[in-house]
Amino acid sequence: MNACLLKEGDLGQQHRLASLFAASRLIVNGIKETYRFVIAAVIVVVMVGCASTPETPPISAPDIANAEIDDSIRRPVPVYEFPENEPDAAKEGLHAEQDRILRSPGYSNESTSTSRTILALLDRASQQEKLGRPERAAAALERALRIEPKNARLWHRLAVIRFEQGQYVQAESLAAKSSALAAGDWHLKQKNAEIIQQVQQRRAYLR
Amino acid sequence: MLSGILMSAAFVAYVMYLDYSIRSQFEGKRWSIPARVYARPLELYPGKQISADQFENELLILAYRKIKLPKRAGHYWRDGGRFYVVTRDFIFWDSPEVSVPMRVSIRDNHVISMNHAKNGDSLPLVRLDPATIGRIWPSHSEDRVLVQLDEIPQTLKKALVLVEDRNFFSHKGISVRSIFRAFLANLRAGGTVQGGSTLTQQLVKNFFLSNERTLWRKFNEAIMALLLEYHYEKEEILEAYINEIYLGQDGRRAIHGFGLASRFYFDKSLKNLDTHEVALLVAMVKGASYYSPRRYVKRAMDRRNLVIQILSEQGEISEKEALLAKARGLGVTQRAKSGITSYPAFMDLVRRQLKRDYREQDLNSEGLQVFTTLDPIVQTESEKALVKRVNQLAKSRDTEEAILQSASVVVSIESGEVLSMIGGRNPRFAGFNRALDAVRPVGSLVKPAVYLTALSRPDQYTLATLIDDSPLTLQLESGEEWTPENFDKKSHGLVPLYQALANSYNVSTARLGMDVGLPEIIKTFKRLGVERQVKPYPSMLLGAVALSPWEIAQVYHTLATGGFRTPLRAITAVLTAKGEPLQRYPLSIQQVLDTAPVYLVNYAMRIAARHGTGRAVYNVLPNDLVIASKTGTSNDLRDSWFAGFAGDKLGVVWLGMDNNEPTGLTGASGALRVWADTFKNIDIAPSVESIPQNIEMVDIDVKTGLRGGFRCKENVELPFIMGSAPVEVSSCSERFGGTMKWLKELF
Repeated sequence: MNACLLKEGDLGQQHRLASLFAASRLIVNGIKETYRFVIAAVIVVVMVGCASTPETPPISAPDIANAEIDDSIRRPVPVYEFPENEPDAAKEGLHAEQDRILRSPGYSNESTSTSRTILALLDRASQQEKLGRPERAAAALERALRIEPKNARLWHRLAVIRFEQGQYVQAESLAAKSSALAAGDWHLKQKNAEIIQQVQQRRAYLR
Repeated sequence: MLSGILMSAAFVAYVMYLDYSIRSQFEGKRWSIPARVYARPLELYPGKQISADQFENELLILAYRKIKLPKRAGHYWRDGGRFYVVTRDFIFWDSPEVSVPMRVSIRDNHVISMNHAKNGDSLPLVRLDPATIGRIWPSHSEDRVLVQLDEIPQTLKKALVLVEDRNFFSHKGISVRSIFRAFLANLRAGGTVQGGSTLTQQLVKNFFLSNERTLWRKFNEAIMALLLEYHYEKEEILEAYINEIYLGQDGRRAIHGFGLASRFYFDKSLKNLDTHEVALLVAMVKGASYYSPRRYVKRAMDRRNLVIQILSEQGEISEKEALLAKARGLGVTQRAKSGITSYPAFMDLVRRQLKRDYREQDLNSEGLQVFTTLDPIVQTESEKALVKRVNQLAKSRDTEEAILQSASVVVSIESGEVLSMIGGRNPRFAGFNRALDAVRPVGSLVKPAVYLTALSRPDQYTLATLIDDSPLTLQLESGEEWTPENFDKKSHGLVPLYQALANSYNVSTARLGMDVGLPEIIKTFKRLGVERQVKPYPSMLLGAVALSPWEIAQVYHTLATGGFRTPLRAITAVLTAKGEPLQRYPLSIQQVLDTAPVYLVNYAMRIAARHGTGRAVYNVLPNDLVIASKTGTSNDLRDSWFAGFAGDKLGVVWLGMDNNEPTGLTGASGALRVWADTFKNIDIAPSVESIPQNIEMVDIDVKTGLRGGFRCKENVELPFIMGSAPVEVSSCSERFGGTMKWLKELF
């Protein structure tokens, strides 16, 4: 046990030194990050045709350390679906925006040879959602994910469907997954952060 | 008087209870239309990775016919890499797939183009109909080959009644005459040739498998037999008897019913059996293990000939037929074969997941359609790789008592779908499913959990942190002392954390594990997906924990996804006979771990595959493939493990003996080879690496664990969680090295 104790002391020394340097590096990194973000933001504005200046993405991440392990994820779910009479106008708008994101150039982060396939499945998902069949829409997205498993936008799209179905825990995890794969796609990360934030607000409200 | 009434009331209540239990048994075991189990449908699209041979193989599994000018659905033609296929209609739960004539061109293991054969339109996506991989009765745990009355050979029915219960068609469940007749027959033959209980009583006995021979049980059996006869027709009872009766043992698997027994002993279907074969099965009813034709040839032969004799005496067969039948050998196959499904291990998993997740009443409905994730291409390639390699390794290792066994699981990473499962060295053999049930010490496969727990505290541990590998003795709670040793019996001094994992050093891992705390590591285990109770003993740090290949797959899957747990699934949807979705397993995930520390552990496992314990994978696999892996070896080389992931797939392989004898194989010399052969043959979609946002790469001087200076020769680029990388720069001068040495000697 002796050796262990001494090693800890050794580490402590290292880290005291480290924290001094880390502080200065943080500032430099901060400047770098802001610079990169501004460029990314400009690109997003041009691409999406959004007029307003985007804000810094809110730092919303699921509270992993304290989260209970969710056993419901291993249970199958019923698929009985009831078509809605009138598609919700607001939802229509939301879907239109989702589609716009997904269709924007560079949506596919893998080989472009499969992009037409993914688009065909996305069309299917949208159609099914308009018909009020979210499980079938989700199934189309799962098919797309089998083809492009690391496509952050597909994961995001699935998160939105789960959110609308009221499956908030799923929505939160799927959004986090999307962000984990989104690399430099700030706009998408922001959208995911919004979902996570809404789920967390809901949770706080319920408490 | 009062006590008389009470007694009768109690008796009536008791009979009602027996009635309830026997009827629920009988109804529950009635064999209706089995569920049809499908493999995953093949999705074809431009860019899809598949070889022309694999595609043709899939078409053959689907029973497409090769015809020069394909016109109808289910026809195809192949010319090198060019295919002309007319697909079939199929109704999937989420959407129907309409038959389409198409031209598919495959080159360099990729689909180059797909066009509509008539109008030339390019097709973005076509889903073929799924292959049927088996039929099961989901509410029953055993596998059966169901036979219905009209499929049962007349000889079998006649022989059963003649040998076991002559008055079957006239008695009311029990028969005093039968008992008397059996008594006489036995006297005449000078031994037991006939039993006194009726077929109905035997059926009841089989329902409540119990070997106690008490009067009370006999009494219960008799009442239940009467009740059965009261409720059901003779023919129904005979059918149930033929599908239920116990006819042998195959390891842990009980062989029930003549249909399965016919497959098990003769590798034939029941209706194709000859008279002497039917007679043998009937002979075994009396005692399947006593008259086992594989073990006691003489005994079985004598009794079989007795059955033939009875058939001839009663005029069911001619004397000449009887003589010929008696002259035949037993005709049983050398090794038991299942023949029910080509994928017994995977089907076993399907059955268990159905049972776990679906309601009994849903599973009892007739003609369910079960859609699974099995990829026949991956399964076939995994089988080929495993069988070939294990046979080779087994040459010097198989003994009289046990042969070298193996199991493997391959999973698709992001979707968590089980693509293949092998339960033993003979993948067709439906016996002990080692992939699910061989719970064995996992050796160093636990280490990533130890390191992950440490790396989750970036203020304390990074991949560059120097940890101490010098000899260590721990005082256990029991008062005993424990001195972990490295595999090479050497001590490596201060080593960077990533190297300790990549080279699988035991001593430094034990020390690290004790420092971060056993309860914390157990928490990590749970988050990774271990459901089994793990006791916080120090020996768990070096893999005294026993898990099945399936459980290891779950753990490494959570690592491979970057900390998102997805319960591994074998089923995607279950439909009723009418095609209505019953329930479905959607893709569900839960983030259980921070992505950044998981990334660090995976990075160290990549180094393990590149330069450490797993480096032999690159003897087989291409250099540009990024592999993360871990070897595992249990004490005295009893278990050889390998878990690894690359691209979009994860695989786990185990090798060992069923009787737990040493194999002489390490993880690297055994399981690794099977894994590498498997991954060489299956298609792995290379994936773009997703580096968590808060990770930065920093050059490190391996010797000091500090930032690499320009003079340092042993710099290694390592990932760090932002702000955790060392700040001090190593000068890499003699003087500094001297200081470190001095520091080390001081402790």
